[in-house]
Amino acid sequence: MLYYLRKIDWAVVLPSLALSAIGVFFIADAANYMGSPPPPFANRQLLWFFISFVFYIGAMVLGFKRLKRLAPSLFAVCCALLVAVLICGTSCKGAKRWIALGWFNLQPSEFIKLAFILFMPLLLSNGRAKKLKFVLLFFSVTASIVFLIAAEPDLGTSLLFVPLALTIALTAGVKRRIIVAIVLVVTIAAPLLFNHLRPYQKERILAFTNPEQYRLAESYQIRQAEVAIGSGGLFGKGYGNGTHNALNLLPARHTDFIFSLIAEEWGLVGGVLVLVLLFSLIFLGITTAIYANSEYGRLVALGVSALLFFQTVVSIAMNLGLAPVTGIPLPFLTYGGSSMILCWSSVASLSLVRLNDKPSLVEYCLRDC
Amino acid sequence: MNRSAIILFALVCAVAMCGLIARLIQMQVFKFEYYEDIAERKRLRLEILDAERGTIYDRNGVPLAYDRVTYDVAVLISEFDPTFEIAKTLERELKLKNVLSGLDAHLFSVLSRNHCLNSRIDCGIVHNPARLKTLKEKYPLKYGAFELIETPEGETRLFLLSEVLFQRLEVLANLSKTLNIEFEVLFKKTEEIRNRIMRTTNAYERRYEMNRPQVIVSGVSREDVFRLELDAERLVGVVVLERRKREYRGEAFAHILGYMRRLNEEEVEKARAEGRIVNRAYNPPEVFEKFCGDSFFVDDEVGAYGVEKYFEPSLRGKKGAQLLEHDITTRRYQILDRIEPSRGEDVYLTIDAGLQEAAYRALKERGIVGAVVLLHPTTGEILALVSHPSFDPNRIKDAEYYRSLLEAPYPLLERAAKSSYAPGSTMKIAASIAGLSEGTITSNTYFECHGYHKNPNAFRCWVYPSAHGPQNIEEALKHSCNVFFFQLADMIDAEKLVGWFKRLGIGEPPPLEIGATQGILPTPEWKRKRYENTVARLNDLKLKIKGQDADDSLKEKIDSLEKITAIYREESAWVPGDSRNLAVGQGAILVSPLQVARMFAVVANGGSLVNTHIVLGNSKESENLNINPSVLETIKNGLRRAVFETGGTANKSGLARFGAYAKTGTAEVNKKTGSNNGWIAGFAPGDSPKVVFVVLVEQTTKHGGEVAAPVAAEILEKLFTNKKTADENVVLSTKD
Repeated sequence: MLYYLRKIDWAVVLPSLALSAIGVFFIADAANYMGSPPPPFANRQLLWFFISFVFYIGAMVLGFKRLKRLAPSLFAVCCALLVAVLICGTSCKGAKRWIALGWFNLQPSEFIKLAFILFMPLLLSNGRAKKLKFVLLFFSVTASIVFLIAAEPDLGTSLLFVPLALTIALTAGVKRRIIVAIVLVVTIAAPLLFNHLRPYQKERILAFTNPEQYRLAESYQIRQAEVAIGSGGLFGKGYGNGTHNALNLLPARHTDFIFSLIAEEWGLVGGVLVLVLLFSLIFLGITTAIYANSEYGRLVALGVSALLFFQTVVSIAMNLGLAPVTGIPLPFLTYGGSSMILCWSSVASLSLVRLNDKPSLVEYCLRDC
Repeated sequence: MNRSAIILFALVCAVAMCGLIARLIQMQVFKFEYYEDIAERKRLRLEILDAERGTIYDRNGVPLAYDRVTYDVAVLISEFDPTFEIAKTLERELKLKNVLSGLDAHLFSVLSRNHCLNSRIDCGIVHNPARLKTLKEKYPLKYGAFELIETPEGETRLFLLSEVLFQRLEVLANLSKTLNIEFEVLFKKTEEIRNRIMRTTNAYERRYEMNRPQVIVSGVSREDVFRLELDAERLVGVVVLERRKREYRGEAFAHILGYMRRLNEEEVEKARAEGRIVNRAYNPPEVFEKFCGDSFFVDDEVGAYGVEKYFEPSLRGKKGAQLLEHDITTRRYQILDRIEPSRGEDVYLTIDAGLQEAAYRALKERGIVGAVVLLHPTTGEILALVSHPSFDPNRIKDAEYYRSLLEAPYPLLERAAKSSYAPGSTMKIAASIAGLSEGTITSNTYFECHGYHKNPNAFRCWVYPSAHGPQNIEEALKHSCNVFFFQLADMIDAEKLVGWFKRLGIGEPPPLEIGATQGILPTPEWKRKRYENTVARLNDLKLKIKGQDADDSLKEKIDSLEKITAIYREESAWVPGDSRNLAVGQGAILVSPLQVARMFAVVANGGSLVNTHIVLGNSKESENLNINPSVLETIKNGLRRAVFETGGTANKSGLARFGAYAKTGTAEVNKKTGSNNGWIAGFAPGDSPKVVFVVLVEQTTKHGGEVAAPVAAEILEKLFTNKKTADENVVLSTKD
């Protein structure tokens, strides 16, 4: 028993456990004010957590090498699922993002995130990063993923892959000129593509830039979240005493705006706690990327780090009024099975790199000097 | 492998993390008071705005069904009664328990005058007086009931001031004076509401109920509402609700317009599952995101019958929404945003209100149970569709009234289009068209009427034991001679005869937006099928009890079915008697007044079967039946002579004044009681018809010419000689 306890990667598991627990805790709070009787969100989230933890253990058992071998097939399956969701996905508010499998909703755009991190480095490792054809392949695959997801439509998630891909590419050693070129292309293309956005997507961006004009549809959400967070103060209003009383109208408290709920009820202390926990995982990933032995391992570790980073930053920035509303989930905290499984699988990959890809002292010195 | 990239990324992460923490600090430390102010003061509410339902007009723009607005006075407990909030604050700040019951006990003693209104309640020692002091200074209205007193021992005790705590007593006193209702009545109502809310266990439900307007007085007049609005500042927590009530012009239109009903449980559940149930004032955030105008209140009404039902989607309109920010301290509302409700579409009927009411009155004054149809001969527009007795749709929600409607003479039965009757001699028109068009007879063919045909007990003329003597078809129509048509029926092929009836719209439902019956047209095939169906049913039953011991009721059923089958076997083939009955509109044939009107329109307009409709603009192309004009001429002559010449069955009716050509009908219904259906059907003025009319009198012992024709005459008088109607009457100046 003690043997297995020592084998567990506590540096990764502890923050993840803490975050998952906080998530369940606050989802229960949000659900209590969402109907009579309250919807069973907290119980479900707990179930997702257990399932995700099983995934974690499973990945540990699988091992790093097998994971690397499985990466391409995993990616292919996820791509197939992405296409499938466009064809036979269930509509929710006019968006086809899920495939309903009985009582479980599968969201392929979540799983593709992990598949992306595990598979794409293969395209650029072992010196392929310097060869143009692989670089082009890398970015075209990325672009296809972006368009597949954007067609659902899920603009927020699709755009997530741009900085993710760029970070991986840059780390893998793709020539800086190419990276800069891609960035320029995206920056120029973005305003031009604005007109092709769906109305609600346009509204979200406009609501962000002119909050005074757009009050009914989108910007009031941000405004509510802002007031909720601000009025939390240093120590918060206490668990259960949140916005439900004062402002009555903060939607998606258990998903997009769960951070607002935490910051409101646990104050600055709570907000910083969540940030510290999340960033501890992110920085852990970065340090792993530095010392890991194989190039693939480094890229995967960095990929996990980047994935967690971009999701965290965008989601929390949105809560704080620094970014427009997107559907990007806050890792571990947002209600949702697919997201929870993704997060635990990602940190599982990280753990695998940490545990199995450690260089010996000699190797590390040789590399470093 | 790019090391520096990783370092760059790490830097970006660090900067981002610091940035987010900095923003948190900015919001939660530096701007804390700003946000706390908003959180304390502002309440947001999403109100759903009801849409006005479309009005149903007659062809001239007379409103027949419309919304009328009534007012209710309601309270929002969350604003009206601050004790809930104060209790919560105290529990939070002072860690007290059971504050609410303590406050209520104090209210009770205030009301029973044990304590006076400006007494104080001692709540205990405050450990954090500074915070409460700040709250009290910043939100004097909200925390006005608090009073912090320093005792000589150096403690700070919190007192609550009754008169601020129980401000609602003053509000109720105000309401009582303005609305002239006793204070006790209002107080009891609000206490009932309050107790119900306090007993709710689920936090969400409690919050919902506290923010939902609870009606305390309904049916308030507009003047009272104005007076309440003048006093709005002092009437904390009082809201005036607009309620819409549907009103109808009268009984005469009831069957056409229909009425409204509440949604039933199934419909509510289905809408709830689709997220389309909304509340008037307080809605959960999810409603807000997905709001669509096509949603329902739980107590919404939809059309249940008639035009209200069939045109529900266009009449209903779309709801709107309003996001209100309410400032607790200044008690002012600010509308942050508003989606206008869109009014339902109006429906214009082809009905002429004046004619409809005149026809209805004509039946009512004579105590006639029956129907009237007025039809435009070329466009198919229905100018009047009257069924008497009718009901008052404004009272249909009254349970007792509704129960009374279920008894004889069955006012809920629509007799003009949805019921069918034995048509009697009106069907001679169809037989005439058939006989002349098929060449069986010509206008010069003469038959002799001896008063009966073949069997004096079975096929008699109505003048029996008298006789009409020799007649051609015009004279037979003028006298409504049965024997002539019996002889015609014997000569014409049954399928051809039945075919013409079908072509003239008998046995098929005439087009009508609110639904119409098809009646029964007996044909050889119909008879054969009837027999075959009973045989099938009999065999089914026999199979069921095969081998088993059948119980008595089943055996009885089989017995009676066997008897019926035997009868039908005898009658499964078409016999000459069937054709004869058909030609004079007796036997199994059943026709609605609307179908009769449609048939007479064929004669009036020169041979087209019109598309009958009741909503303006719904006209479609008529079907040309390709009838030889000379055939129609002959028939018209017969109808003319019936009205104008002595001896004609419609001669003494008063119809001649309007130049009408008509056919009477007297259909035997019950030989024993001598009860008949009395008909008159025709068009006027005969030479260039502007209207087709049909009057049906259910259950009369008299002839159609005696009972129904005078009614028609009275209606035509209203149509033609009334100067106002004549000028405005679009019948005389058709649009197309």
